Amino acid sequence: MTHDPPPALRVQGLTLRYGSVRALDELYFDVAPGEVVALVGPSGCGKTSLLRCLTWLQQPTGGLIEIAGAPLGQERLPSGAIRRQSRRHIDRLRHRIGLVFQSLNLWPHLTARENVELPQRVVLGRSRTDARVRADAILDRLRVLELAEKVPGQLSGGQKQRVAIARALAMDPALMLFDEPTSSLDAELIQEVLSVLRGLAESGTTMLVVTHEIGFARHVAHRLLFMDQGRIVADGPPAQVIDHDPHPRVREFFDTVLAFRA
Amino acid sequence: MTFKPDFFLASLGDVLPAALINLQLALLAFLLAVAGGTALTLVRALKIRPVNWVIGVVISFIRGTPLMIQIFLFFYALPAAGIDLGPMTAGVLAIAFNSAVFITEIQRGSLAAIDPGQIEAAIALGLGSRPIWGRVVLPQLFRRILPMLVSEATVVIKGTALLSIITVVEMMRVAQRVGSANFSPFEPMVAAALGFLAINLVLSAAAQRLERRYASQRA
Ligand SMILES: Nc1ncnc2c1ncn2[C@@H]1O[C@H](COP(=O)(O)OP(=O)(O)O)[C@@H](O)[C@H]1O
Ligand SMILES: [Mg+2]
Repeated sequence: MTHDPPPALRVQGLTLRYGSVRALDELYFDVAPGEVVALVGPSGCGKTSLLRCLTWLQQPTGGLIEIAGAPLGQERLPSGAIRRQSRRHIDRLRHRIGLVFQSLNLWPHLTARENVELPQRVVLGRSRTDARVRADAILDRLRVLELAEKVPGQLSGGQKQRVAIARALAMDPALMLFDEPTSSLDAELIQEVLSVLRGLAESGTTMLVVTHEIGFARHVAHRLLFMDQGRIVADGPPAQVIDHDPHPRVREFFDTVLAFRA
Repeated sequence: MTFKPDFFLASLGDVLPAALINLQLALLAFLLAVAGGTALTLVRALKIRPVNWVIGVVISFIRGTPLMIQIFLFFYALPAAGIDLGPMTAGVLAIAFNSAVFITEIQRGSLAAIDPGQIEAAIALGLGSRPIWGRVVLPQLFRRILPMLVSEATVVIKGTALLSIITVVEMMRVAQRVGSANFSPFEPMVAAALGFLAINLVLSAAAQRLERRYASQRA
């Protein structure tokens, strides 16, 4: 008998309230290994909140998260009770999710290579040599190896983006999360970063990408989740959702975006 | 009063060797102050209310009273409480304690300037609080506060002169002795002043080189 591998991500009933604001309202979805999911929705619909909960930077109000089969943050005991995990336990799981922040958040006092090496050494306990070999391989793959000795202050936005991606990828995550990776970039750099993401997608990296780039969602993603007011209101093949989903908020969003491009 | 050059030169010979004592005391006090100040900063970051309240009271006492009085307190009050320290130890501890308070205040100011996003990135990657402090926050903090630390170090060096009042034989005390033995306090005092000045000039020159190196390395 064979078992399917567990989903890279499983979200069950995830809820986050800020006071009376329901930033996330009972989300249920899975991301399969190798799947590339575009997460789209109007500003303030809860996309960043979702990514922050998935890394436990923000503790959700309720619901369960599993990363490649391992519960994150809290788990359901056989008795049915929910138990909160210790910080140490959570820290041991966190590297399984690679988050690339909208603001990148590289460490400014370290070189690009050191940024990629540090978490490998500290969290995974890799040797200096192993961490360096891995860092250089990934920096090379993302075409920034020649910048390995530079500090973030000496890099362009697109270059920093790649280093931030490398830092997360070096931890061998089950899932990569991107928060609007192109939103802070100039027009010419957007294509550059999108092609990096396309490369990752083609090599089988599991990704959940918050994006407003319809082209990327349509041509690279396997699936599109549309969020509105903390809920997932559409979930399907990107072209299907973009062109035909009947939900009024989805139509309003894409019709506006597409009208601007026409 | 006349300035007697030969007596001045003779005083230099008597006074300057004692600068080594000031240097040793200052070095020890400053290292303790950096360690203690950083420890205070770490404790304060835990944000335990009553603890931070107590630290706050101690800080305002240290900042609001003369170092000379603090030195007296360490020298006279601690033995009364059953802790008998020699004048050197008491003096070094008093200066270190005073300086630690100023260092933790300097650190707190610069801590606010470190982007919290960097710390979130560290947390999201699974770094615990130890490596976050040790590898991410403190290295940046020390680089930022380097100029202020250097000026604090000069304060510590000058502060060692005050230890003369609790009988520590250092440059100032030697100058006073030479001055009163010869009924001419002025020349040895100028000699001691030059001693302190020389130490501090060397220190700030070294600090400038260090800063330039950081600046060119990580522009
Ligand atoms: N720290 C916070 N405190 C209170 N409300 C917040 C906070 N962060 C986000 N929100 C609210 O939660 C909702 C979702 O925000 P966010 O996840 O940033 O949306 P998006 O990334 O889709 O633009 C918004 O209504 C926002 O105002
Ligand atoms: Mg957002």
